[in-house]
Amino acid sequence: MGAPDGHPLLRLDRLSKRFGDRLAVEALTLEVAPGEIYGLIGPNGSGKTTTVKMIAGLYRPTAGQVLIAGIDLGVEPERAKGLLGYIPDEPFVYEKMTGREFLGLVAALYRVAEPERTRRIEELLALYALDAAADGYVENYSRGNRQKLAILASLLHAPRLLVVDEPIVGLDPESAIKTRDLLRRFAERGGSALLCTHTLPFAEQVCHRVGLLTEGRLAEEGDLAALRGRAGLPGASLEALYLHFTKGRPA
Amino acid sequence: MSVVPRLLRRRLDALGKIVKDREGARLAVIAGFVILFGLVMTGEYLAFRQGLAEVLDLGPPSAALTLYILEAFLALVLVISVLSFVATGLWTFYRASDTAFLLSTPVPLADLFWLRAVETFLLTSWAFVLLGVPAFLALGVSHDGGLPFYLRAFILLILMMVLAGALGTLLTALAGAAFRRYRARTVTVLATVILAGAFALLVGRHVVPSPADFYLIFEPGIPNGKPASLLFIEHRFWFWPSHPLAVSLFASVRVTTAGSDALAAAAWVLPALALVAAGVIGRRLFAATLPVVAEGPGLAGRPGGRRGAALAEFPRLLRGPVGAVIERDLVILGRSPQELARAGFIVFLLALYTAILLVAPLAEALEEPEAVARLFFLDLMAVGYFVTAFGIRFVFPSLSLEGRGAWILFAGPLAIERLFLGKLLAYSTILGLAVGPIALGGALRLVTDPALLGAFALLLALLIGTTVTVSLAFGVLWPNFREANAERLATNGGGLATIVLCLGYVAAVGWVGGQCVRSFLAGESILAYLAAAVALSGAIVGGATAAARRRLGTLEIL
Repeated sequence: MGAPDGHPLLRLDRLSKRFGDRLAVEALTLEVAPGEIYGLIGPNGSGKTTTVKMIAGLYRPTAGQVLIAGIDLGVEPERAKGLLGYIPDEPFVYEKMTGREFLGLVAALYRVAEPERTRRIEELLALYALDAAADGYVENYSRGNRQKLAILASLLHAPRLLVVDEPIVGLDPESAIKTRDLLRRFAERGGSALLCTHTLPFAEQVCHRVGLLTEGRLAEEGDLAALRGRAGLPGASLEALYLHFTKGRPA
Repeated sequence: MSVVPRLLRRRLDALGKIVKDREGARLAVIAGFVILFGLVMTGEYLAFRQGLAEVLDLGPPSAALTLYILEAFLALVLVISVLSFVATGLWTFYRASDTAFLLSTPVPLADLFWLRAVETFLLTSWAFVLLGVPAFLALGVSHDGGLPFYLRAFILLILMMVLAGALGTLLTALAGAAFRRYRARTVTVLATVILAGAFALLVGRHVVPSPADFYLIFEPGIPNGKPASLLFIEHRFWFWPSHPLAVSLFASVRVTTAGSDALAAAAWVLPALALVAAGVIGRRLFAATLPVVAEGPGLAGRPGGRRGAALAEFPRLLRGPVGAVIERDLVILGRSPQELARAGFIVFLLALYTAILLVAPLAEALEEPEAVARLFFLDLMAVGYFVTAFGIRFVFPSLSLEGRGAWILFAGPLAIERLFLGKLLAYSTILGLAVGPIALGGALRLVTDPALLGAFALLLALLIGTTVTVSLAFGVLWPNFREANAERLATNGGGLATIVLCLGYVAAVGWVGGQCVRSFLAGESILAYLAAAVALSGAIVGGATAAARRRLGTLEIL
């Protein structure tokens, strides 16, 4: 699963997004290496979801580039998106489809052919023990089950990069632990993930590096040890570091 | 009923707010729709007035013909209104999105029943405004009706609306109670098919006059002081609930001997009785049905246990990413009773129109080339209207209705331009299959020559292809991923532009069709006209597709 030719699996190069007069993301540059989980944290409105949506191809950058395994998303969108798995903050899926049908649709979108398609769907459903619920319409799913379905859909085509916006909102504790382990295993196999979350203990458990985004700019970046060093708070949790770095900044 | 006005007022507040806040763009859209409907109603008024004036010129038989026209017209409006009410009511009464919330509040079920009845009535009373008002005005003007006539006509229109609303409410409650254990789509399809079948039989047998009927209508005898022709018509329509109203309306402009005192009283009593029946029987049925539906599995449509492996597989029919998305559209449509009912209603109206065309006594008229050309033009216009109605309701909102699930397509490795073309092909095929045979059946009634039938088929194909392209392309140009209601999407600025362009195009194609008939029957070539239609369609399709492709390149998913 490693990136070819030494490319990072994700590279954002001076990425900016403007909505009217407001600059939501400003010249954001970061890299995520193969096998690395990168956490993007920050207050509400700091530009996290905008960044994630630009990486997923839902927003078009005002300036800058998104490179996925060296492929420019703006130039070869289909090829780049084929390497990407995206989990949105609101896991909206089609209400009038069953979970299994939805996974079948996503597999078809990513051209996962039979019999691999069925094998992958069954394997992934077993991860969250969703087999029984998978034949009911999504309109009857709980928020947690929808979230699980979105997570499974992102993994169907064996992506090399996962872009995740709030991965464990609505999940029960057991499922949250499973999700943590899933992300860790994904990274151990060479995959990369960019994780955007307000659940700081979760980010602390799974992320190799963390970037703090405020007002669309990357204010701090590094692994936990480096952030502790910069803050002068040895042994501090990510939560304490977050409060330290955001103190005095507009929320 | 104290809660009902308050809840209704809250719904109307949104409209009031637009006017109050002077939201320019939305006001312009509303004004555009008002102008559009105004033009349609003006056109109807002129057609009704011209028709009634020509009937008046016939002399003595005109009285019976006028009564027949009124009886048939009111019966048709009643059929369309009640069917539309039931198709919409099964959704608003039992599956509206705010039902769960309202059930959790102290709002009594009786109030909820009346709220749903009024809501459904407001949604489905368009036939009275769009058809009834121009017809009544034309009747008054052509017969020099004074103020008393207009007052009486206004009251009769209100009574007619009450009658249709009450019958619709009662039938909706009955259908809901009868089918409460069935799945939602089964209920909608069954109820619509039963009602449409019953009404089509009634309309086919009673509303359209046969040549034999015409002999009776022109019968000059006057037994017992009342013309035999009027007696025949009154007998023909006696069991239609609209009959007392039609006769009362007729008596106010023409022969006062029409009907009887009992019939005049029935014009008031029947709507009142229907309202009481709806209030007593319908309300009780609703109160017994809604809790069952709300819990499922009945109309709530919750599937039970596991499906077979073959059924669980997806996609089942189509291949590739675009095929899978189109199959998803079809699956979701098939599982959405409200959408199915809407689509079925449009096809039903087309089938009803075609049935009337097929059984109408046109033999003499079809011997006149000019009459054939005019009927050919009107037929293409009618079919084009139904195609536009389908396009605006189902094709135009299709991109926006991806809604909050748009991330699934846009974050995936799918070329959206290919999806656009795939949807274009799919919707054109569906419309062609649904509308094509019915429309061709109607055209066969007017022309039998292969060349003219071929011209009709070509113009129909152009109509469908162009209308679908414009609807889809304008949906891309004016997307709204936050709105999940197809009706609201179809009535935004983009929807208005789509309707105006499509109806203008339909008129142009209809004109070409009429010219083809005139030229062909005069022994001239029709190729130039067909080439013009192809060129016009090509220009519209090319322009709309190019604009949509440009927009797709900059589209963002909020």
